Amino acid sequence: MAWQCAKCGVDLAPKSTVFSYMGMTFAHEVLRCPVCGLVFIQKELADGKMAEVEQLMEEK
Amino acid sequence: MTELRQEDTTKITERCFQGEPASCSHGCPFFFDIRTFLLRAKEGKWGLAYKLYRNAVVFPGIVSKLCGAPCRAECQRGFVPGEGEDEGRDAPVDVRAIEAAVCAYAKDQRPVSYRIPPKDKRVAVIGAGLGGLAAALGLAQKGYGVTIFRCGGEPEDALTQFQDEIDLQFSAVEITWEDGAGISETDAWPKDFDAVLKTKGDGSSVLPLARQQEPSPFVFSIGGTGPISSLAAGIAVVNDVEAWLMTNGAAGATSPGSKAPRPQKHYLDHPGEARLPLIAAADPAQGYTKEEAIAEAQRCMGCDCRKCFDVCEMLMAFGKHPQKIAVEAYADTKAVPPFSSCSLTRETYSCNLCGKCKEVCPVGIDLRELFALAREGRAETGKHPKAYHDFWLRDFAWHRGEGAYAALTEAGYVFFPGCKLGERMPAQVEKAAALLKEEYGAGILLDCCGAPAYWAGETALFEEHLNKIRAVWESAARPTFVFACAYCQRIFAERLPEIAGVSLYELLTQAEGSSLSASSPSALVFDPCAAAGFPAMRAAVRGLAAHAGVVTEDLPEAEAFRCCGFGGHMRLANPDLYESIAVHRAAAGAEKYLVYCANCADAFDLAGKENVHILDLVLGVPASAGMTGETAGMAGGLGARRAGAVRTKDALMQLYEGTPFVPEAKPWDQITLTIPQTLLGEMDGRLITEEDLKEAIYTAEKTGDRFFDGDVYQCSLAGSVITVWVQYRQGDHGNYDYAIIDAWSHRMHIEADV
Repeated sequence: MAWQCAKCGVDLAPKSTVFSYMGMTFAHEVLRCPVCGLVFIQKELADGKMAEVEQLMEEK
Repeated sequence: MTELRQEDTTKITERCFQGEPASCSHGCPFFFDIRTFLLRAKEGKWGLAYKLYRNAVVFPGIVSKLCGAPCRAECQRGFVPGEGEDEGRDAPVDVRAIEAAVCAYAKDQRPVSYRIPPKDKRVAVIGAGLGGLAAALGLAQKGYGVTIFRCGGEPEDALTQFQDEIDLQFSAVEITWEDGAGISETDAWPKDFDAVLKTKGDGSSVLPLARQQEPSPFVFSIGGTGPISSLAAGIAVVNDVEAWLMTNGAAGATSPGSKAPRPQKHYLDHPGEARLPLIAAADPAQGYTKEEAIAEAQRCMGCDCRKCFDVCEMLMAFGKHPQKIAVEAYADTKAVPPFSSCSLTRETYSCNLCGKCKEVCPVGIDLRELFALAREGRAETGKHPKAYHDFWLRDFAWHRGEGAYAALTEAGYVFFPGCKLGERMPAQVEKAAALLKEEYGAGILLDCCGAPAYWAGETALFEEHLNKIRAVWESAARPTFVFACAYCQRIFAERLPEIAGVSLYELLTQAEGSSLSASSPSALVFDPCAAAGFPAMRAAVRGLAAHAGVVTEDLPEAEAFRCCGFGGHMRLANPDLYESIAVHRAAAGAEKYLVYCANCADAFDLAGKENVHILDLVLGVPASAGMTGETAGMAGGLGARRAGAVRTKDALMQLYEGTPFVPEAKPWDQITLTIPQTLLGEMDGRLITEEDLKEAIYTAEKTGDRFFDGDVYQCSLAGSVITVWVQYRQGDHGNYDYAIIDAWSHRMHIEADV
């Protein structure tokens, strides 16, 4: 099995997504529903790369 | 608040003398940084030590033999008391003997050859005593054409024994030597020079460093009371002469810094410093061996003030001097990311704002004030990471809103338990309130003191809150506030000084109705940081404990009033530091702690340190009724804490008006969750609440915005500052029951979610 969008019933696919933090915006490819666009963030991403970038932004 | 200015922050730390030369330097004619020199000597780095010495005194081979070592009188080793000879004091460090050893053991003593292009200005130096030689050498090193006129006489004759040292130090410069016999007596100044340096010549009388305006060339006079002070004057005049030459004789021109006042001299106390006997050279004629010189240098205590560092994990972790912190705190409010960065973010938000640093600072520098100002300045300019304080500000909003309660009486007291005590110990708050009501007719004001807004730098919110409390006080015949929390009492004392305050513990000592019962035979009192300013509160807690049959002891002085880690709400800004602080505090004493701050109790629960709250000891409320230990505090999770606060308000409403508290209903109230204990602990660390998860699941179930993988669902709840994610399954107890698998959060905002 793989994660699916519960509303649209389709598999998720990577897509460039815009994030913002501390007044800065940047794009990163994350899993999303290809139909409705709902963004899926896994714990590994939130605690890993995202937390790392958040810390960097906070230092700026 | 008006825009932060640099002087707003730098004036706080301007008296800090960390890093400035020690008292011994103040005794030295050269203001030599003896502390750093001895550090190099301790390490046996003779070459580095020699360079420092050479740069300060120009002729190390002469000074190490002629100096009268006035630094001895200023050496703080000499202040260390003890028994025995030398009037009961330790002997000062023998710096001169170490200097001689450095001159003996430094391998490469060749002077540095500076590649400075020659300048077209010429300087005459009349007199080749130590002052004249030093000035000539300094100016030649800067590229000026220097001619020394030898005048003869005692000072020059006395130097013949040091000719090798003089030749060595002059070996890297070009100098013209001339016979100047009789030149100073006739005032027949040599022509074709842009400046003339006149030395007194006999070294016998005081001729202070001064400049005399004469037609041309400009004449500088130098001299001293002896060879060493003449040498110091000769070294000092170099920058003045250069400034004059570079400005083509502009009146009053001085080199930057040449007239700057020396920093103030400070002596430190050295508690517990043991005496160390002076190292005597085995062969006095030969001076110290290397080992002897190192041993003697090790007697130097390296007198530099690190008092604030010694009592603060945060300052120690970042290692920045207070004066540097002050400059950066201001600069951070002016940073324009991404073009320029803030440099003090983590420090600013890692401070506990406890004030221990000020307590130990010999000149009373208050870094709490500085970091509070820094947070204020950053919040004002939008340069604050909101995620650090978002949870606490939402919690504050609840406590000052729905969670607040006031029942004022005509009596002279109103009980102000604060917000955290009720979260942890509702039954104890209820019991204390009932006692105060019965004994004193006291009213109740359940609210927050505003610390979360102060700690977040949200000044406008803080002021508004204080104004609200002041208005309540004024509306109720201005009662005395009865505080259970030292930090509340501190905030009131500082920000609402017109409101009289007393601690709950002082009143309980007097209250006849308090039923005292002891469960622990002895404990170490862990005074909260803010109790430093309230000796009566501290004494009352000890008195209550004694009355309950508990033998109390104090923590060592150095450990007293250090924050448990909760202060400043720094946990999210620096989780590692938070944990290390809690562990250090827990390790400060082996015995069980007696605490009287709910936050200290929480911090120690988290660190696994056995502790008991004074109210648990003396109010005779069963622990289970008080939700202490395993059922409340951090071990019970944030949900238990909110439940405690609700229960407290309910109990107080029942006590004062006989009606229950009915919390505002939420659509997700019917949801029940099962959360693994380990995850609950993790959620607490991230400040994610059960309420957050319920709202996220409720919203996802309603909108359908969720993901699934088999029977596992995942959804999110985007708040204005953080986004919470939750993974869950349907539970076994009906449609609204869910089993939580995992939960996490991030601070980035997802801009494009469609």
